[in-house]
Amino acid sequence: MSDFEDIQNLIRLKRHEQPSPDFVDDFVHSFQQRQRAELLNNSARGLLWERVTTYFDGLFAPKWAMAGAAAVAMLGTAIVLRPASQGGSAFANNGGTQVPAGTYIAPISDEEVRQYLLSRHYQGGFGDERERRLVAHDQMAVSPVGFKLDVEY
Amino acid sequence: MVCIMSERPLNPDPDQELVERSQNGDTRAFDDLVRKYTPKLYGLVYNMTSNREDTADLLQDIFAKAYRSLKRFQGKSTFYTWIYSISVNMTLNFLKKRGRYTKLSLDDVDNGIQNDPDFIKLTSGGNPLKDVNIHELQKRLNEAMMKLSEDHRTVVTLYDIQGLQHADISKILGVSEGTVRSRLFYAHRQLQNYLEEFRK
Repeated sequence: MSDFEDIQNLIRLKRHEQPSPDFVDDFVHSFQQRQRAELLNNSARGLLWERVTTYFDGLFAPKWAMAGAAAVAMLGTAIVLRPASQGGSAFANNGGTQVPAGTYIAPISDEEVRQYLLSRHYQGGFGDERERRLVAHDQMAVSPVGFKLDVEY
Repeated sequence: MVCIMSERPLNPDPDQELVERSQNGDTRAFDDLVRKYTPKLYGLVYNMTSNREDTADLLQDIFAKAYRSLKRFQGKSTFYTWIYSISVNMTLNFLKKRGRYTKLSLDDVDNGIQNDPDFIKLTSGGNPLKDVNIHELQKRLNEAMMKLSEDHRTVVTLYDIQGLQHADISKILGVSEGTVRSRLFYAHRQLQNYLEEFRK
């Protein structure tokens, strides 16, 4: 027998302290009621949350679509307006004057070429020499050096 | 020889089926668990609080918490150990909040005590306390229990009153078996002093 056996036997008498025989049934019943109430409360909360999220989904969906479309439009504009020096533009890069690709250029007629060749700039003058030269030419003067015009005036 | 420790309990959990059904939302299965464990957990909480109203309220909270936490129960221990751990922790928290104020509200002592050999021995002819009043004895036992620290009261409740093994108590409390034995030793020594007059 251990030193504490008598005290253990004494303490074990507390096993005879028992709740009423109906306690377990009553307890389980009240626990069920509490549990069901919690479940209902949770499902009501869940329903409210679902409605709130659905409402905000409906509210925000067109706005998001519009924002997305605006973003795409801005991106497209930025690509189109990007400077040609950055390469990859829609403009043709021919090393000289840049003409937008697809621009129609009418062919130069012979008459336009003739007029160009007769222009005062082509002849190196800046004033009324053309008239004087023409006069000189009319007067069988020599053509300017390096030029031979086969046009008849 | 390599011994691989498994996290799962060595013996199959007798409550496994009920637990799994409860985890899948079967409230009736959980009701069965409540019905099964209410008497045991009532004894645990009651003997730690010595107040039957507090015990009923606390037991509701314990089962409600267990139900909410059941999804996280992974079966690394038996359900028995798990729910006992919840009960002990919640009762200790309750006692800390309650503080030193203790109002005894005791259950009736059942008639079976009259046939209990220990009680018969206590009230036998050679004992000077043979005319001991059962209710007086009950009051003194509860007062002595309330004088113990909460840790000591817990091991006395689990070992002496509820009859759990040292190994099970160590799992429930998360301490070594040595700690359980040590706490029991000091608790018994204190109780000897408090209940000296009832000892032969």
